[in-house]
Amino acid sequence: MVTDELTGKMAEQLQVVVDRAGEVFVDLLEEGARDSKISIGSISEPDKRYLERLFSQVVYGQVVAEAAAILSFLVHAELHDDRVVTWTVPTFMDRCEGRLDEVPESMPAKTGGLVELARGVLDSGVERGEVATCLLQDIAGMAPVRPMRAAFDAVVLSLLGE
Amino acid sequence: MARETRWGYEIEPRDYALHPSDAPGWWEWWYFDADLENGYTIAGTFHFGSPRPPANPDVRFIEIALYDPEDNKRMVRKRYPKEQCSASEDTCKVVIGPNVFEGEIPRFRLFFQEGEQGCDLIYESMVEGFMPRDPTSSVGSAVVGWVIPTARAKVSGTITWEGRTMEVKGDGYHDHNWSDAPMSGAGDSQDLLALMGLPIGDWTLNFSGGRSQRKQGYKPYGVMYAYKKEKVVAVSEKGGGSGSDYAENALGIKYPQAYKLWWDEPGLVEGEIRLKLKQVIDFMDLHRRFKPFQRWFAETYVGRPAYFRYRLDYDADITVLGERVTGQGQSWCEYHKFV
Repeated sequence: MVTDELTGKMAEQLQVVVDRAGEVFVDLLEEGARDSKISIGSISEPDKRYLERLFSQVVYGQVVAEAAAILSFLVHAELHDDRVVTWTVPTFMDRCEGRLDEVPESMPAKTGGLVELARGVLDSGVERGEVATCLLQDIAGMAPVRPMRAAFDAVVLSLLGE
Repeated sequence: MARETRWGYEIEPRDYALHPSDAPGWWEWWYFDADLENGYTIAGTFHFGSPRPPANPDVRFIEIALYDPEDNKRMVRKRYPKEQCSASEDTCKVVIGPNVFEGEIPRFRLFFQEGEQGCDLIYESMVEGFMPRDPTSSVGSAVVGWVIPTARAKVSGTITWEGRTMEVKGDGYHDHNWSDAPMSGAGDSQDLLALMGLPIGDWTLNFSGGRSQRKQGYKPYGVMYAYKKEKVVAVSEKGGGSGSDYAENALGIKYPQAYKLWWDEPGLVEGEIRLKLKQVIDFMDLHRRFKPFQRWFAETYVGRPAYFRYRLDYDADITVLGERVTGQGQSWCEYHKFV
């Protein structure tokens, strides 16, 4: 049974993984610059911290919710457990976002119109499955928008053919 | 079986007949157009399967646009049940409801009638049929087959506009594409401008160009199939295309108002053709059939693919096999924006 404590711990683990990936990426950039494979000159330690921050922004802003949605969709398709996509992973998204020092800049632009989109789809009156309805209601009721969770919901909805 | 030539293949009726496939993304279309001396234009396709996402190999429809001399448009887009449609695998004979496209080089007949629009046209080809050597593989996740039964034909017959039937004659073009996956940004191309069968004196130029996507470095590409009188005499794939002077339409989709295509294969095809947009006469938002969240996903992570048809001014100055080919005039083209 997934608990709040477990989702919190997993969000912590994910941050460890992303931070380490950022360091690896920046070290590779530094090596590339040193070997003249890329012409960006030398990279100072402050540069490296900035680049690691950018990397983290991009991963949290462009990859985490999307990859989580794709994997969750697969797991749901295999196990037919609606909670995976309607509660467990969306809650995990909230925990991940809660750990961020700043919301990645790309996220509001990406998710800003989703509440209105979800409300419009719900208002259309078209019959749909329980999972889709739950995710639509999750987005439609968000105030303020929680971008990682909204992006997760939206990607799953697109995979469900909505 | 198509006979290989220096430039591609000579074709037989089976090459421009149906190419059936079990692939879930399969589609096939027979395309035709004609510019008529009374100022009318027709351009359209007979479709088996959907060439645009979402894939649907079972759909059958016609999509034909008629334009009057003022570029007012009448668009016929109609689906028919599969059981009312058929296409031969041995020759060009495509039936979609009451509408028929059939024939063998050098003569084809196009008949469609829907509501108050229609046509009954004969295409008499002035050039040989031709199939390029390499299928197009850059406009979706599967290669796109292409055969050109006629790049330049004398067209005669009737068109019906708003219930009024007129005798017409003019010039036309017909080609045929098929693939196992819809055209999309899943290929390598960012965009593609195609001008099919531009007649300049004894020459017929069939060319296209564009750029690859960002992940391929925006590399330009361009191809020219040059016919002199009835024969294909030169093919060059060492070209490029680049748009400029971008405008944005009401949906926020950007498109170029000027386009330059060039070839750089000395001794074969060299030079430039410059195009200047005069008027957009057709536009299709290729996400229009997507459901709301599918559309959000596609626009957020892929792009805003669209199809345009433009009237344009052209200025051609190229050299083919050492012979200079120049011309200025009006024509029209297709512009495909894949992302």
